[in-house]
Amino acid sequence: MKKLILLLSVITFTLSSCKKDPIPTHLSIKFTHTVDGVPLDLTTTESELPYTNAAGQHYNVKTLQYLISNIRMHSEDGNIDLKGVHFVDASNPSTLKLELGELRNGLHSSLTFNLGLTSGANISNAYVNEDFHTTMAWPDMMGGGYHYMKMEGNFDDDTTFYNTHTGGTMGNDWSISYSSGCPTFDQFSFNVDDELGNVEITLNMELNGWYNSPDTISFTTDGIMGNMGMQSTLSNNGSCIFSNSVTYE
Amino acid sequence: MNKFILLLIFSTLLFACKKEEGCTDPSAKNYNPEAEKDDGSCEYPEPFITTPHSIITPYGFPDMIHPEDNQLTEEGIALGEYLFNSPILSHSEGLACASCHLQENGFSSPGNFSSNINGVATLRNAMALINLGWVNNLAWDGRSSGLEAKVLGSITNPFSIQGSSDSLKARAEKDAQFMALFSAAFNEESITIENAARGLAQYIRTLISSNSKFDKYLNGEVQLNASELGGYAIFNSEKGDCFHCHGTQQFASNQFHNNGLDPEPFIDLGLGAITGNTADNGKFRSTTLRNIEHTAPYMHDGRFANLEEVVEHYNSGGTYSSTIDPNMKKVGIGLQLTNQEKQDLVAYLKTLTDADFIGSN
Repeated sequence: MKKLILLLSVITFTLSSCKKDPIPTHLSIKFTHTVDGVPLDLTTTESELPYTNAAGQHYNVKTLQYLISNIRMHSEDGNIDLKGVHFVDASNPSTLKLELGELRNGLHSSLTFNLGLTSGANISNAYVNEDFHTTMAWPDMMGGGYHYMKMEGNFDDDTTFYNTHTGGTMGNDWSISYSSGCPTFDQFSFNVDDELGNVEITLNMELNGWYNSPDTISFTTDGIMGNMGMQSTLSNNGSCIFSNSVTYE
Repeated sequence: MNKFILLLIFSTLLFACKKEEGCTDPSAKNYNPEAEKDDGSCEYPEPFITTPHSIITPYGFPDMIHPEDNQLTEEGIALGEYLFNSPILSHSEGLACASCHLQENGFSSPGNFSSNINGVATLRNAMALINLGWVNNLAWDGRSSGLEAKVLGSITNPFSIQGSSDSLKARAEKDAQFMALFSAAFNEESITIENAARGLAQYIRTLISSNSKFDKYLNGEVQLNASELGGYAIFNSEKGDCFHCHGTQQFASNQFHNNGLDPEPFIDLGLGAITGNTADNGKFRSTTLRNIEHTAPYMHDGRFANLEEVVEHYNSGGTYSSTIDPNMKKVGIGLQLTNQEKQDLVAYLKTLTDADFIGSN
């Protein structure tokens, strides 16, 4: 009897010592950018115009900056607000990966966010202590708040520049909500348990989408910040420029 | 005899066992490292007390960030102001900071270039010292990270006033006012050029301009005339497109841009000389436009004598180079403003003058 008890004790101890510690799941978002599927190259010179829009204009990209807001994970036991506003500058690698901390166990069904700021948040000086404040500020005279996106570069030749600046001209809300209904934006789901490991969601912006679909937009040297028709069209074109994918590490 | 020897041995043993008494606290003035037993005799220096100074953040400005080791104090600011206006720092006692940074010029220099202590002209225009507490990468080319580093670089630069700890110490002994201010500001006996730079940095952080005619207009205290309002509209629309580099209440991005001043090859590489990146060649810091009426001449080399020349530069579209900023949308064509619109823009820029700041009130 004593031997049996001793044997059971040894087996129990051995089994318990073999039990794995739970692996925490950390969530991150990676931001990537392509033009017709080719990774964006910001280092082209003015004489190099490697990209072509639907209007047949050749162009390059010198600047790409934008705001992502209301980043939220939808989970079986409620939504998780991950981050209020994130500034992406394609020339600054530190902005291209957003670490969002540990994700709780359970089923997570989708990530939603806004490109730009909704009208309630798009207020002058609301983000005065953020790094993007001066870079993205939008003049009060044109409604105030912040640029949603700045995309700049040359088109046609080396002395003409386009400034595709989107925002809430005169107080309009043309921020773009990414939730569902967009074929490029998958409604993924994954279950976080003690063994899943880290999760990285990649959000890829396809830049030609701004100019190609559903409406064709030509580059211009004229300003578009004060052009409400152009801002509305860009908001519409931008509704499906993001695609997503999920990797597990 | 035997008794005497016994007594001697006993006494010796007694004294040998007795511990030396004294102050055992190393932080005390009379610390005795030989003492093994504290006898309560420790005497301490008077506690060093400074008076904290608070900055009132102007509307629309970020919180000012202060280095952990150089928080604002009334004493530090007073020392900095004294040093700013005194030639005590310069190698030959010939120049003060205020020699080149004149208050009536927004703490800038009215000349294209300044003369250093040897009478040799500096390579760039002396920058206006306005709201620098909110700037990180200072100087025209962003060479200095933080105000303390910038000030120290300027006051020790052989092409500037060439100060040093040795020359400062030598003069300090003859300057009772300096000695008193220094002692009040820093709890250190040693007079160093680094501490002088810290005091100066504190003073420069207090050079805040946020009470211009335009600020008063926004507060409803004054009205702008038609020309000023016209310029305001041009400035803040894509017609003039000034706001992308000089926006927000700071009227500055404090980022680095090539605004089409020169063709390549550049005589002055600007930011590119600091980073070594050719994509940064020809870029200079976009400074604040507050008090711009009084900070002529303009640009890093002072090439434009007045605001009309500056506006004309943008109106004609500037000169092409490979690093020109995309916001200079029509190189060589420019804004195409009418004469009236150009006058309006200048009129608006003059509303950014803060009479209190430049000391004209």
